[in-house]
Amino acid sequence: MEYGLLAAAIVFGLGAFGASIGNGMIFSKTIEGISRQPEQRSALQTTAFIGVGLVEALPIISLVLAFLLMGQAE
Amino acid sequence: MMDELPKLLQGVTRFTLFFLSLGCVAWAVWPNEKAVFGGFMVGAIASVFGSWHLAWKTIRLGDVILSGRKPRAGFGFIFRTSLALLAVIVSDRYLEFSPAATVVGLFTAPLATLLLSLLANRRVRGGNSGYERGEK
Repeated sequence: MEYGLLAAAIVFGLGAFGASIGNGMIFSKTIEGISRQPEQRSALQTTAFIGVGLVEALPIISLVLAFLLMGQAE
Repeated sequence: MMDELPKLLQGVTRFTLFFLSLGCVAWAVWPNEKAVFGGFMVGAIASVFGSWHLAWKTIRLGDVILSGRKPRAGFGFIFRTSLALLAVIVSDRYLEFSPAATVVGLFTAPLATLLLSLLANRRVRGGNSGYERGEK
C-alpha cells in the first residue's frame, strides 16, 4: 500500500522538477530576448508558447497518473 | 508579425475541434466504446482550455516586460495541472469514462502545437528561395 503512495510521489516530484527547470530556462531566455529586442516580441512569445506547451505536457500527465496511483493505493 | 501566436492558437483550436468531431463520429459508430471516446473528448477539451490559458499568460508576460512592471503572479502551471486533474476526475467519477483515454486526450493540444509549429517552420524554409537566403 505504501509503495503506491511512494510511486505517486516519485512520479509527480520528478515530473515537476524537470518541468520547473525547463520552464525557468524558457521564460528567462524569453524575458532576456524581449528586453534586448522588443521588436522580436511576437516571434519570441510564439517560441516560448511552443516550448512551454511541450514541457508542461509531461508533469500534467504525471500528476494525473500520480493521483490515479494514489487512488489505487488507498 | 504581431499575430503569430493568435494564429498558432487558432490552428491548435481547429486541430482539437477536428479531433472532437472525430470522437463524436466514432462514438456514434461504436456506441459500446463510449467510455474511450468520451474520455478522449473530455481530455481534449481540457487540453485546449489549458492552451488558451498558456497563450494568455505568455502574451501578458510580453506586456509586463515592455511596461517594466513587476509580474504579479506566476505562469499558471498550478491552474493548468488542476484543470487536467479536474478533467480526469469528472471523466472518471461522474461521467464514468475511461481515465486512460482522458489522459490521451490531454495530449491533443501539445501535439497540435508541435505539429503546427513544425509545419510552419517547414513552410518558412520552403517559401524563401536560395537567393533570398543568400545561398546562391
